[in-house]
Amino acid sequence: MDKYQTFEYDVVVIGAGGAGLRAAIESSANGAKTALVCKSLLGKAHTVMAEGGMAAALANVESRDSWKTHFRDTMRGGKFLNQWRMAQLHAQEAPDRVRELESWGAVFDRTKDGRILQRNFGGHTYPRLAHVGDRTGLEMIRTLQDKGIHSGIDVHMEVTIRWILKDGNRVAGCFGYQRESGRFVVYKAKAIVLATGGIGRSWEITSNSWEYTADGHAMALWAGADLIDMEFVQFHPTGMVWPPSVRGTLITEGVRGEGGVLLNGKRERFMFNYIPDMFKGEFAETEEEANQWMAQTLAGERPTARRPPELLTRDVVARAIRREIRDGRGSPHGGVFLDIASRRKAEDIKKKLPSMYHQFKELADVDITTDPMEVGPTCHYAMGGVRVNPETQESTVPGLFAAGEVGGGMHGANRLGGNSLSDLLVFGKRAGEHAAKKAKEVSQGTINADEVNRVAAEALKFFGDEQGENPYAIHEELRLMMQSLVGIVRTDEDLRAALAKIGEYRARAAKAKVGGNIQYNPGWHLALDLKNMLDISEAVTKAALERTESRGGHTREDFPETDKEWGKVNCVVRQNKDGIQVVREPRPPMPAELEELLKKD
Amino acid sequence: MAEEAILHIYRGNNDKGEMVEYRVPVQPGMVVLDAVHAVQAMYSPDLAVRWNCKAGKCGSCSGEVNGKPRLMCMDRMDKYPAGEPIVIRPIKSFPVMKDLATDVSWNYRVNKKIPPFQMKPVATSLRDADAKSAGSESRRDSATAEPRFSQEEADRVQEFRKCIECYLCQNVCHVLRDHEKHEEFGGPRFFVRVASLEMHPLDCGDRLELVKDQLGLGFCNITRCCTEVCPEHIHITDNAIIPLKERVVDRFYDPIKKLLRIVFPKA
Amino acid sequence: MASNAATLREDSLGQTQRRDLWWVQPVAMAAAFIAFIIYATYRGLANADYMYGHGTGKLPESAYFLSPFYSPLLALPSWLPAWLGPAIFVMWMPAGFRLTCYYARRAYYRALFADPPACAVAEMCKKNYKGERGVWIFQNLHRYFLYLAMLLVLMHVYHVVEACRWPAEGGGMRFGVSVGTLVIAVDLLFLSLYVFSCHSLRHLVGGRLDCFSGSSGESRYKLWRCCSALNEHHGKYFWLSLFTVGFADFYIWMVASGRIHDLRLF
Repeated sequence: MDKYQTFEYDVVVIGAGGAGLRAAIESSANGAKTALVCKSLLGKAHTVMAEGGMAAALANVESRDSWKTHFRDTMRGGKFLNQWRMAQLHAQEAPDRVRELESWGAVFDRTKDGRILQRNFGGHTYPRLAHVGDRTGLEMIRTLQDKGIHSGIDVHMEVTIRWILKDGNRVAGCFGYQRESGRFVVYKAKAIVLATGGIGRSWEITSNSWEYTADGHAMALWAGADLIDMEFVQFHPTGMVWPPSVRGTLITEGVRGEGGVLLNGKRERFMFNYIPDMFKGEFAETEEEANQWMAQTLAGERPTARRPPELLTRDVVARAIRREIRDGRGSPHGGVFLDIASRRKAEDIKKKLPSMYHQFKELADVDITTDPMEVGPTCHYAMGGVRVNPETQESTVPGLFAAGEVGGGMHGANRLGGNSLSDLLVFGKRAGEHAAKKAKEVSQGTINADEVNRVAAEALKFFGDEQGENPYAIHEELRLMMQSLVGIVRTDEDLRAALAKIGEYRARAAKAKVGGNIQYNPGWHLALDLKNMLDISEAVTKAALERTESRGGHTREDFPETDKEWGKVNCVVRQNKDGIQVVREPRPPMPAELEELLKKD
Repeated sequence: MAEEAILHIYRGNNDKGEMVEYRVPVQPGMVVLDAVHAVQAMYSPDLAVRWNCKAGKCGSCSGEVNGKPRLMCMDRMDKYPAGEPIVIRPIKSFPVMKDLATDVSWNYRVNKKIPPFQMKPVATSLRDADAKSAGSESRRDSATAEPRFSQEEADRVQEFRKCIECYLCQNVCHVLRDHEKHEEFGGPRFFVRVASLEMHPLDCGDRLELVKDQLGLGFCNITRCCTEVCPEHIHITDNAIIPLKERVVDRFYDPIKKLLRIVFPKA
Repeated sequence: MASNAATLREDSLGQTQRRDLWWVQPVAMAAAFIAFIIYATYRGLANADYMYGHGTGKLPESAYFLSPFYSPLLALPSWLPAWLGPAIFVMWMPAGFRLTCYYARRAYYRALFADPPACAVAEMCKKNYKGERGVWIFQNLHRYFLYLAMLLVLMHVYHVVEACRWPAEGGGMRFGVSVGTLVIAVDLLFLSLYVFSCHSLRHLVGGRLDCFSGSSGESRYKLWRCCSALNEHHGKYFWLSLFTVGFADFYIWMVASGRIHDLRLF
């Protein structure tokens, strides 16, 4: 054990995005000695990529809004598979979390009377997203970062955690390595909060960065925790499609929130053809009506017209775009057009969507104030994650908590845009609070030195003189495979083929070799991450195979209908000695008064 | 598309290193960071480089390309003449960890010196004009003490809050780059940060003495390289540094103001 | 703090990896500064041919013209040595304003002191750098030069008005405009733009406030916005007004010395 640097804390938070920072701040505020461990530099987490805003029923712009409507929107967006208690807490607490952020220095865009401005977004009945132009995530990260560094938290940057160490059934600490030196570290902890984000790096076209290698999902699985809803992977409808080097880079839903429309290759506004039955009657059915809504919204009036169908939920829009492209009505580079140039004045576009303007100008030579963008679906978000207690965010492993994207259940089958940033804060705070509480209740566990040595030895096996494959090649193949076989639309045949492929990659990844030494070696880091990605890809594929229906972010070509019976169960993934298993578990019953909210009109 | 780019990339650490030549295929729209990734995939998996968002939003992939401080993810290959080597080096003002990754921990230490946002008692931040014009509704809000300020007031601070902490300004600032005043100077990034707090309509903290003494605002001779390299196009010099200098003058250098303060100590 | 690796070292003047013509701008600016300083010094000490028109003894049929270098014109006591002309006693005001100007500082620290010569280009003197904490601390008095410069703008307005008042044939004055009038009017325009785009002024009218609320807030905000809009072009106005002031002096010199004739337009 002396070979490793050892730290001792009450609470260790893994990941320094919105959820991790919020959890660490809360944990520290509750008196726990807290460490925040992150893979990148502080402030670089993927939360900065969140653009559109954070959903909270502040009712600043539309006084009819309330947590009840927000709850209803969230459940409907999630196709009723959400853990209702999480959706309820989220809708109730989000406004306070937004105001709290403001009291820590965040500067949101303002209404005319000086309050926090809210914008429209897909699936939200009312304008609900507090935002800062199209860089809301950056605002959030910076605010939390600047709050966090004065909150007595120890920040360990550029450290990757590989393994949750247990003492019997409970958490005792975690094991990882410093990216720069390559040295191993052990953190002893009474409670651990996973806030590691998502899994999108396993797909070819993705808006996710290198960090999204499913670390938290995999570590929880290995530690014996349950994962839930893993079959639901969100493909954001609008990623860049051209040029190739930026394929998948996110274009905020805010473009549509600010009035952008989707056009196919024939310049037809196609979304009117894709309004699902569930939302029939709530969306405009003609261009005139959609335009009228737009005009009323811009004028600051309460719209009498219905909302444009571009503001349908992400799963619906992504499938519609895919359909248009598949049926030969795509744009020249295999996407569709997203046009805001003809809808808003150039100066408004630059003001409300500055980084989109900048991004297209510099990377694609497209001026979005005069020309439409070419867009297509891009892998964006994992609805599935660690199954947690809605109140405490504790997983099925005592002392292991999860918050943010790595947590599961909040979003059900499909996440609404803007619900992620608020999710980070609401459940980040809860996780931090309860982790600190847990740390007060229990004493420090014992670290099993053999376990540490075994994991360390396994990590070092990628060095050596024997020939081995470059991990980049295996990763590339995995991404292509997941894109084509476990993408937006799935079939039994494809999913089985994917499982076979994953087995093959696993064998190859075990024999991968990297050059150089342990110091700041991205090749080695990737070789290690491949294990997470392969295991979680398997979890996603197996859960997708199990769910023989189409719902939200999971579309089965062989089972295109939504099945009522499937609406009663969640797929739970866990690992035992036979490998990764999927079981169906009934959804917890919802109280009558909430049931009532969903039935309304 | 069989075109090839020639890259000269720094390989080594702070004490020793060399420029190594690599050749990678060029794709349409490729950026320098793509080329570096191609080197990792084709030749050298252990080439160290930081990156995250690959869309100019996180500020991780700062480097010097042909001598110019750039975000590598926003630097298109097609603007460099074909056939000529592209020289990629780590940023200069900070010690090299390995290859293109540098130790920027100094910046985090400076940031910690800056006292955080401190909320004004809310009642004073309510806009009188609003209370008058918006009538009953805003009176209700003043009862619940919701902080209010206008978009115009927000604009100024929001410009500073666009900063992605890529530290290119810190890298190009000659006070750090050439004069190595890391002990006495905070650098443009943290002047922007102080400005974002000092001009915040809801903040009541006071950081002028800090910015003058501990962050060494006076070392800045406003030669504007920070503004020139800022990938977020923040007007660092004109909107942050110079207004801060003027505020410092108000407090510390203006002889008449000083005199007035002596004569009328409370005014 | 920075790198010790020989490959990365850049520590002698002008050493850089930049491949563009980074030296063109500092060289051109240095040339412009030096040319102007030589010209202004010569003209300030020349003590001749700096005014003409009625009341000056030269070209009495013309309106009154005074070189901006000599404005406001001082009557010097007779005991002063003859070579100390009136310009010396007034030129320090605009010179001080320009010397302490936030834009000019950027330009001459780079062009004349190579500190730094250009961005990401190494410089020579590394020891004892004090920035604006050492001798340059007087730069903090820029606002006082601003007050003086605003007085100079008023003087210039006066001169333009004077340049429109031409002696009439039957005695008295009448309105008239010549090329010279236009020359000093253009100088007035650019001087005003330069002065009113000043960073210190921008601070004084509103920049020093955090909130633009309260009764005077709205108007302060508007003033600040105007000043900010002008301020974006402060550097441009610096150079334009530097050129027009030199040219106005040159024009008056040429007319006063009889080398050219000031064409009356109407």
